[in-house]
Amino acid sequence: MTKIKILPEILSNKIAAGEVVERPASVVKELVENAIDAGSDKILIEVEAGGKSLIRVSDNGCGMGRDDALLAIERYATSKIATESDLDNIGTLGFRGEALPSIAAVSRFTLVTRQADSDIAAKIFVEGGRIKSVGETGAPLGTMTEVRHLFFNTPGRRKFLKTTTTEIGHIVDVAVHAALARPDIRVRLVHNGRVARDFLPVSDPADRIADVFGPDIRPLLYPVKRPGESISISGWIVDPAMDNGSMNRIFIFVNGRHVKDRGVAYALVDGYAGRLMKGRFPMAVIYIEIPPGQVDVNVHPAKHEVRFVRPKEVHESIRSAVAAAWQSDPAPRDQDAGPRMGEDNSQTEFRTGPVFYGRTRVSEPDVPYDSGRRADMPGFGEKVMHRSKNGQPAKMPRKKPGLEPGQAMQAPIWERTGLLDAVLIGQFKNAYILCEIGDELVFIDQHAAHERILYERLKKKRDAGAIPVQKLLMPETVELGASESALIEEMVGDLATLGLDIEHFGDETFVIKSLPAMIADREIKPLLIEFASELAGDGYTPGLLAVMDKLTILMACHGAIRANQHLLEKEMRALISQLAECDNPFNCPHGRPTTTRWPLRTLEKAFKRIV
Amino acid sequence: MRFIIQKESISDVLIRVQGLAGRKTSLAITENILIKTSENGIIISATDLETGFEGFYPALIEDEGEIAINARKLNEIVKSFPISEIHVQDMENRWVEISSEKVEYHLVGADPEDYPNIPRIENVDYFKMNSLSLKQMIEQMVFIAPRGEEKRPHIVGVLFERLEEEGQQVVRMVSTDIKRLAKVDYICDPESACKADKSILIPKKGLVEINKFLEEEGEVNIGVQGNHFVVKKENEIILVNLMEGDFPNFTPLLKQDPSLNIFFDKEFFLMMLKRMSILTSDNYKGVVFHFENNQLLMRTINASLGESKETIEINYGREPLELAFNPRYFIEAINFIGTQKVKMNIRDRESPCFILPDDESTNLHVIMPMSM
Ligand SMILES: Nc1ncnc2c1ncn2[C@@H]1O[C@H](COP(=O)(O)OP(=O)(O)OP(=O)(O)O)[C@@H](O)[C@H]1O
Ligand SMILES: [Mg+2]
Repeated sequence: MTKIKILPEILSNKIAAGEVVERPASVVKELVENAIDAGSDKILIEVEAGGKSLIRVSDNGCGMGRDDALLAIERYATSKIATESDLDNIGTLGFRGEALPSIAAVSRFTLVTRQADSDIAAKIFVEGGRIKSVGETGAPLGTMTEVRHLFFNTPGRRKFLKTTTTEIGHIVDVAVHAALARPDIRVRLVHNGRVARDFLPVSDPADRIADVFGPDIRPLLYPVKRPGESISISGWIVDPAMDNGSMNRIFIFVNGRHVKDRGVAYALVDGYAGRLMKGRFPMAVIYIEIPPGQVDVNVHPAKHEVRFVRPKEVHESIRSAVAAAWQSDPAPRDQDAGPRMGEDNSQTEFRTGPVFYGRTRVSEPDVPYDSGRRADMPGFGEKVMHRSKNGQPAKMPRKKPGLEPGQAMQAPIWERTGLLDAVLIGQFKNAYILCEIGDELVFIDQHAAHERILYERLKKKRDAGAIPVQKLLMPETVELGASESALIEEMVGDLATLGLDIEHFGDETFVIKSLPAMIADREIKPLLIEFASELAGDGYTPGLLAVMDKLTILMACHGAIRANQHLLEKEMRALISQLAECDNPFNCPHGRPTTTRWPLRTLEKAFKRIV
Repeated sequence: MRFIIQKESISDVLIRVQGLAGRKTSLAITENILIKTSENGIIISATDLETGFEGFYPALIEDEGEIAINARKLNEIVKSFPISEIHVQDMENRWVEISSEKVEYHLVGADPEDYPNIPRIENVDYFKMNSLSLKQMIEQMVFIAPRGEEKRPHIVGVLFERLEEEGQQVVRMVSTDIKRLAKVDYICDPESACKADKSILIPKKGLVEINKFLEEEGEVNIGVQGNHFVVKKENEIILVNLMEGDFPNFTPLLKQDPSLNIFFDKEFFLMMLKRMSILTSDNYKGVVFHFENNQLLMRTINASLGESKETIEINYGREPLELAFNPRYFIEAINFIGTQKVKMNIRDRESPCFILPDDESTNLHVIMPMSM
């Protein structure tokens, strides 16, 4: 009997139809997912001309018998689900039975596959959706799927293919996602005969992260671990110094599937709790394990998105898991330090460039793929991106990441030393406090620093349940928009513990009976609306802590000393020592840095005392 | 246009219109005042587009006409003018000459045609109020001032009511910022012609301007016509545009149980509150009141500054009660109490606290407690 069944039509209609094959990278993604579903532990991806002329994915998975192989290229033929209720319980990456037929319809498609119980492999050739030949051949165990001349019969779509560099960039992304999703699988990508990436199986996923992004990332990783009965969160978050302006470096895996999810991303940002500037995003690799029934994967044609049945729970798990991660030490640093980074590509390079793989790098055809090295050398995957200009593998200086001479930088968050030993120099422009700490000239933004101090104090009061609350003589009614009121309604209980006593009055009307005293002079309505619409925009329902934090930040900002305020020496000293006592002295609650440092060497260089 | 005027006739009004002319409006010309000749005098107009003023001042008119002239500069010139008799005349291109035999100013005027019209109000049903009482009422309203960009009508405006209560005509004003409230009743003279009518909302800013024109003695005419609240003196009239919006129903909040009254010496209580508020700050506004066994213990705890406490003997025999207040609200309210003793009516931590004078006067201040 065959394993693969054709889905009844009603069921297949329920499955999000649509454009499975958008570009070569989508073909790679589908084929790699099939390989993973087949239980492979080795996947080889070979492409030519950015996948436009050839894509070949070979695996060592379970393979298929001849009849199954023929069924596999039929639409809605899948071995992975059989009944409608299976759709609510998807444990595999594939489930629609749509990928192979869709790919075969727009290419010259060859499938060679052998099961363990057979000595001989089946070989099927399909051209533009028509089966041209079915035969037998000798082949290793597993499956090889070859896709040539993608879109050869749909010139309109072929025209839309981008340059080889762009397309290979997308394919590298797919390989990286697979590599991060399954550190136990070897993923190797060969482009035009050159090995572009080769990730060897590792038991510690952090090793895979280091293989993908380079070993310099290691000391900046904070492990996230939150085992749970239904939801488990694990992964690594990266020091906020590695922030960036988009969500591109947030890698989210739900039950092994790479997805994009703004809600999760914002929950993650919330977990950074003020360590990031507004509008900045961290780098992180997050694995969410959740019972398949708790997540709908059938919402996006290319399966790039999922929908959680209980998003609030997921978000809160992530936020708290990330928040807890800061308590731990960063992952141990790579001890076998190589040659130091050259002077001229020290800090700036480190921050902006070479640690990360990126399309821009891949796009330089001569640089990214080093044919000189053997592909099975350990750590091969990272090497290209981490070379310095002089050809030496770039290593982070071991001392203090983020504090290289020549650059004024915000200290990484675990560097809490120094402030207590600060020698005060004075105030600059009534806004910045200057002091000397060790070999560094340190500037403190007085407003940001005071904000941080107040914020932490308030937070302590708040956590102790000691926030003064002003009751209102005349309860205030606030009308909100429909989506906003839905969000606020959910948070009524949370807000009350902050002294914001708000009651749902029906429809979109709310009645406010008390306010935190610190903001009692403000009209609460705009704050609520801003707050609700921010939440609505994020698609994210934060828990109590996040709500409290937003309000606490607002209150702290309200009370903080301003820039343009002259401070007495005593006041400055007090401010510095209070800042030193903070849990996170280096960022204001909005995430802006409170301090910036100029190492002595920078000055010496500026005065040409050293070169 | 040409006229001669005595410094004394206009120096007061020029000071009083500075608030109106000084306020930024959408029309630059409102920095000016309009001066128009009339029979045996001039009419001065000023406006901030929300409140309009017009007054008549005797002058010797030599030639008719009108000018618009910068209010601040004219005020400074008149204030420091060396002699009493001031000559004013317009010249070519809207220049205005202000002079005496020896002093001469030429000021750039604006086009009087551009000056916004102060609406003509006719057939107003005026009633009379004592000028000083009205002044005191307004002061007790506007101290609860809206902050910054505030737009809520019941905070920006004052409720003005005319009612009949127990056969008497009453004018009532109520002001709030939703955390506290002040209410003052004025019992009209039977001759005053005050009639019960619908309630209106008057912007606090407009009341502040009206207040500047109110004398400490005599009477003024009050009227409501169309969209305007009107205060008319013999030679001067002020119109304030009414606000749209609702005022929350506050009457149920004002129920008091006389058995809960506590009495204080006003001056001592004020000083005590001031002592306690030394250690309050923006972030720690609260003072804790602890009533027990005929004593009130007040205490301030401010994590960043320190703490203070003080006790006072009072008549309090109920269950111990502890609650907190913003001391500023208390100080501001008590300042308006005219009697030597202050009556405070406190029920519990959830209910408003009332502050009243210890006589039959009609002002009432209500403050909501805090919880610490
Ligand atoms: N590499 C492979 N090894 C073993 N079996 C495979 C492989 N690729 C495909 N198959 C079989 O072929 C079937 C069809 O694959 P196809 O990718 O078209 O659908 P699917 O993976 O079930 O669903 P989806 O369309 O969501 O990917 C699969 O269900 C699986 O049984
Ligand atoms: Mg598939």
